[in-house]
Amino acid sequence: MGAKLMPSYAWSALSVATVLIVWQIASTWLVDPMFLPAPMAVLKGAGQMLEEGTLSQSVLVSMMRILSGWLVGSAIAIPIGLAVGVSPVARHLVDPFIHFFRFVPAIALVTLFIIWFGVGEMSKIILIAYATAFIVMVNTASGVSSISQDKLNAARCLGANERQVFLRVMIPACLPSIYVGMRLALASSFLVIAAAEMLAADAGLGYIIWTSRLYFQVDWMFAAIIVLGLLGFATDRLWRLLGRTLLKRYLRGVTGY
Amino acid sequence: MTNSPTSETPPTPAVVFDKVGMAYPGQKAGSELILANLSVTVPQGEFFVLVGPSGSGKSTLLKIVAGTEKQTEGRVLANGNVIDGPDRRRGMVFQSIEEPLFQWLTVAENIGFGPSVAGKSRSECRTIAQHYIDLVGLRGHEAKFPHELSGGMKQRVQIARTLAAEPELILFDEPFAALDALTRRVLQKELTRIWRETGCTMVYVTHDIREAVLLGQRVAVMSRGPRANITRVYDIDLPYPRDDLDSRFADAVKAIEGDIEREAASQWEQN
Repeated sequence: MGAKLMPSYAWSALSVATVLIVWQIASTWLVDPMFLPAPMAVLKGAGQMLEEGTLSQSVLVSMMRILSGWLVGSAIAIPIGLAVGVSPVARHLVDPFIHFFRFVPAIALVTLFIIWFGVGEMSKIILIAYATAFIVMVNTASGVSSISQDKLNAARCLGANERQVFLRVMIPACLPSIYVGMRLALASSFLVIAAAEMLAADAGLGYIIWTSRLYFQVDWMFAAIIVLGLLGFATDRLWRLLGRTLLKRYLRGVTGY
Repeated sequence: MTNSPTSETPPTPAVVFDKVGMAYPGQKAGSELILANLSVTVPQGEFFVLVGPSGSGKSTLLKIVAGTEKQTEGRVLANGNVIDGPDRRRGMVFQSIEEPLFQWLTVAENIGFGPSVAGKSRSECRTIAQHYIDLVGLRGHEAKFPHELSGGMKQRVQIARTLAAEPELILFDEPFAALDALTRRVLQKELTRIWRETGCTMVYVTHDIREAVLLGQRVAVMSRGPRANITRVYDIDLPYPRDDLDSRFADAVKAIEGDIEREAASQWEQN
């Protein structure tokens, strides 16, 4: 009913505006702005950091880590996931590790990876690759194993050899699962990068959030947190755009892509 | 063609089942066979229908011919050759409406899949696809994706796609069972026309006796499993397209129905 009152994006805009107003009110009259800086103050803080160049540099550094870790992780996970989906032997080989590492979040590995790979880029990229690979692999494998036997047998009865069945039926048929897996992994990459940059980094959004406490610059913290959220939102939108254009014919029927 | 019919040798049958038995893996051979000692021959170009209750192993029989499953006893020959895995010469039209189609390909691309995996050029594939699109009455829907089609149209795509791979034999696993009655009737009629136009051997499985009599030159009645077998084969000597109001049509249906009922009754007594 309400949907007809105004376009759907207007509802979203309304709710964002409301939150901003409530926030402004709260920081003006209810809470010490030292702890909850007003939206305008956060904007000023962001402007400050932009002028110094720390914000844009941190965005670049964090995004570079996220994207490279995400791509490396996916590149490793997709072939393994396909193999696990196709071959029961591969499944049995990989299964124990899947069931073990399910309960080991990437954040638990931060310090270990720092010892192994140092405080540089490598440890963060590998950490994100780890978080990504796990999600993408499980999704890819379940995508492959949920392909109907009728679909595969139809291809075989039309004369496709096993290589053609794999390339021309299995991969396109499980593309939606890979796509959704990569989307979920992208979200978890943001989670992981913030934690990793807090523990050991000299740049990045997580680094800003963590070091701002030393100067009690809560406005910087807020700015970095909001930028992190906006970046995540923007990359997710880009991924969806890719799905709706280039991959459209493969993703039809995927809910909420 | 493997051997041209000379004056003496009769043509090689399309399919020969020779004392075929089938047990699924995990079961001891001979203990609980789904099919047991089943023998029947389908000559070239025939429309052969297998009718029987569910659980009689009809679909299993088709899968053996398709090469997606292997019998555990006896021999099965297609065009005189032992069956070794799936092959484009033995096409299959599945009961499932959604699953067998490639949802990321258009109607024309789905139908061109067989020629395409056979290494034909894009333009050749398109020409072949168009021929079968016209044959099954899908002109104007070439660029649509499967999700834009009705159930009946999807089964037309399946049939056209199977034909486009240029098989010698087509296996049908209750292809119209999931369609509404009206669409089913239309497609049954179309199928006999397509059969006569292509001259392909058809092996068609159904549990619908009227459908069996509407389509088949011969109708084989299968007993209920385990140890299912063909109890009787009827010659349906009626011209196509068949008229289900014809009294001879009704007689044939009644005869087969009686057979299946007796079969069911004898099963009850045994149990």
